[in-house]
Amino acid sequence: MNSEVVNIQAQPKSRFNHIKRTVYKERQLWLLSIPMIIWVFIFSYLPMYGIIIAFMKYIPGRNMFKSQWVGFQHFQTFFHSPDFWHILRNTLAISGLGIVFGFTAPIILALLLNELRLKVFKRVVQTISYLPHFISWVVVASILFAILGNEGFMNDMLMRLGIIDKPIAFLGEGKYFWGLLTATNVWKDVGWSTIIYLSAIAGVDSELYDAGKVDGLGRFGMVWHIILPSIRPTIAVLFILGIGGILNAGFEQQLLIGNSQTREYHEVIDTYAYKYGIQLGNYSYATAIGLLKSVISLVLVLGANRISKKALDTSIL
Amino acid sequence: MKRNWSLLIAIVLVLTTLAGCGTEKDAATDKGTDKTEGQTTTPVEKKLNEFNWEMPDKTIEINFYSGQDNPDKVKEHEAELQKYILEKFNVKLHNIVYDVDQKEKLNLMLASNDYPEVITGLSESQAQQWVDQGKAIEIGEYVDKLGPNIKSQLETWFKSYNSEDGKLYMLPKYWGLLPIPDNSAHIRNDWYVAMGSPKFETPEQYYDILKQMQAAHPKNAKGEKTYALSGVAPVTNTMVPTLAGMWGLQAGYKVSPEGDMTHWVNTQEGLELTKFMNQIYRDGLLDPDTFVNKFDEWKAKFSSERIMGHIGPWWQSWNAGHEVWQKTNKNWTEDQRYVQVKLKAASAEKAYLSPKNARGGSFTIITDKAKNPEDIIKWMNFSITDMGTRLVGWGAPNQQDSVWKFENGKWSWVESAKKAIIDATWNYDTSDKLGQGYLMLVEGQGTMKDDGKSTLWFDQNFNDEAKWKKIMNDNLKDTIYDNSLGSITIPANDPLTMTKQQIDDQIETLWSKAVMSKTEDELTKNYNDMKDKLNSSGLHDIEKFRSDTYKKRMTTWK
Repeated sequence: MNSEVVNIQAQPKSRFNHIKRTVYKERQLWLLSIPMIIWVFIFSYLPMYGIIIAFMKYIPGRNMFKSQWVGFQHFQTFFHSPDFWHILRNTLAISGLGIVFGFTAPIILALLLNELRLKVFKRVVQTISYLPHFISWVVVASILFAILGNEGFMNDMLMRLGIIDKPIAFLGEGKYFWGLLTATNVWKDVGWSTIIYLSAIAGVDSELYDAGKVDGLGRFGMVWHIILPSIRPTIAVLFILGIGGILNAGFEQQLLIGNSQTREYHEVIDTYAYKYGIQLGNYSYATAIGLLKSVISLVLVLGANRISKKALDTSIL
Repeated sequence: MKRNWSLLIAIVLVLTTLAGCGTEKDAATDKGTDKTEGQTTTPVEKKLNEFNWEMPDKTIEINFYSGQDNPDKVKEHEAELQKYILEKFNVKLHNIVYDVDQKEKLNLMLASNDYPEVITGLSESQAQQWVDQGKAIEIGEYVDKLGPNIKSQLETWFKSYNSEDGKLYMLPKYWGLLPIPDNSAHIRNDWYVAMGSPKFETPEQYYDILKQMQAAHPKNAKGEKTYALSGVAPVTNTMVPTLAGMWGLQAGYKVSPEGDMTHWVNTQEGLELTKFMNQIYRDGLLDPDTFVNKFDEWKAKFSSERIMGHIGPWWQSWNAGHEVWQKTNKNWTEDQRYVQVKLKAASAEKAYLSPKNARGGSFTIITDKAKNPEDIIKWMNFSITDMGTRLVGWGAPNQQDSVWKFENGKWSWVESAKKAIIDATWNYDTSDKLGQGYLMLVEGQGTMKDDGKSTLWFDQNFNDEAKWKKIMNDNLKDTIYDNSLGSITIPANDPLTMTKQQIDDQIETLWSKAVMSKTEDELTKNYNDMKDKLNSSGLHDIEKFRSDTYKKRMTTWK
């Protein structure tokens, strides 16, 4: 009996000692990390106390802690909003398309770039593909208006060729919006996103290629049997993180490219929270929507991570 | 040794602190003595400036937030008038603006407790929000003591600004009624004259003329397609209420004699005006960008001579029409412009195109950050006078570019400036440089009492002499009405604000869809769908709120 008590008491003590020893051993690293830990605590964790207003009726100008407690009222208001279903639909559709095309396109481009033999040409193509990433959405919106507006280049060309007799409202009809946004997102970020895959491909052991050659693999065979399995952990990690951001369907893009005629297709959770929360001074409502989004994202990340761990033996946690 | 040093430093610190306190006390006592002596021996003579303003000994500084604008532009434009007022009145006014949405900024100010001593340009509900949070101070007693001009100028409306408990927290900006039009239909003048100036009265007759005009000018000089009609988005803010006014509705609502307000969507007139627009769309003569045009994009198209007609504020076709052509076309003649015209549907008794709000729809509050509210009220008490209104509205007098002179207590126009307005050659950049309108807090925009004709807006002072302004005013004189009762805003933090936002967002989308229907059956279906969606989103609740407020005002504002 006595020895059991001693053991139970000894266990936490030995664990504590172990942590203490580890920290002491890695003391230089911990010292280096302290500013970052403090920074993260102050700027990322400390402000989180504000989440509490999602459950309160906070009115700007009043003491937050004296606000009326309303529980889940703001969440219910959001679910019962006449816009809820189309906002959810738009968010999932735009993000879904983003994952399908925006996630695969950089992998394909990285594989293609890797196949280029002429180094100068490869670098030129890479640089050109990065450039759109640095163009602001305001400029992208202007380019789109110039190309796809009712009197833009595209309509002008189609009419001159006699393909259409009336301009097509590419930017004025909701049905084009998702495709347009996905295409623009892919164009803007495909080059930038290839960087990480190219570095992963560069890390593939050259002996594997040699072995592949010996086994008679062609270029496609090399890609399928050597490169893709080698960069699978990178793909898995980025996919998990991408799933976590599935409810981040954009913000600036919608505000700049969208208009009243495309509203039923462009309004997403973030633009809705901004308009109905921040702009109207309903901070509690905006916080409730933001919190809901974060919780769903966290669940999705954990879920994807679990699946990835089981299926691919790769995880981020 | 160490302990002795510490003791010594501590003693020095304590003594220095005490000595400092002693000196402060003595100085204060001395100052007090001086002041008392000064007051008893030589009474200070208050100096009056040429505007009869009692010059303060210490500069009065008033910083006020006025909404969304470019801070650099405002700083540049307010400079000349600001300098003049500082020199002549010893008052420093500073207009604070941010390039951020006004509603958003006001809420951030409230939440962060960071705001200036005065806020202007608030809707009544926004001002009330500041009152409810205890951030706007009660100014009734200051106005009683220091604001006789405020009371006399606001006259019958004065009590209507009181809160329900009889306290005064806000004063109006742009109060008073100036019977000049705001909104109308527009038509390209020289082409209309070339058609023989055919008579028209109804929207249909107007469109028929635009159609003929477009047929005569199917392309502009660059070979681009022209359109009969265009508009600036959001169309349901101005264009639709103006159209509804042609069908006899007031600011987008049908108002019964009992005060019941019905939104245009729920009226037969709403359907009729949508049919009218749909016909233009189906004829291919409505600018396809009507529902998405931002003003600058629209201006580019409009000034390229691609639009025959327009529905909206009068200044839009001036600014985007002849004011551009004057600068870009050496051969421009004065008849190359748009004229503003009245339209009235056959079924309507009267056209209501320009709703005015004599009570004022924009308000100014003094916040709890104000250290000397008395000084602010003193300035407002001057600023609200006819002469104060001239100064703030027209800019500093007696300067190089001034539009008016003020000498020996008498004012007069600068003839060259007056002529430029009459000839419609006035350069509005000069107005900006003079600071016209940049330092306003409580000014009225009606006719001034001292001469019965001057008004705040410099360019509206010669309407009987300015040929084109006169034509516009004559055309539209019976379309102007006082809508003070119907100018209703929903209180902030009321759940109806969200309902209203949802309706505003949906109506813009759904109405454009209805207008762009391909057949009349499709139009009817789309219109009814719009009606159902808006009503299920709470449009009837908005109508009820407005009707209740309107009826209450009918009894209390008599």
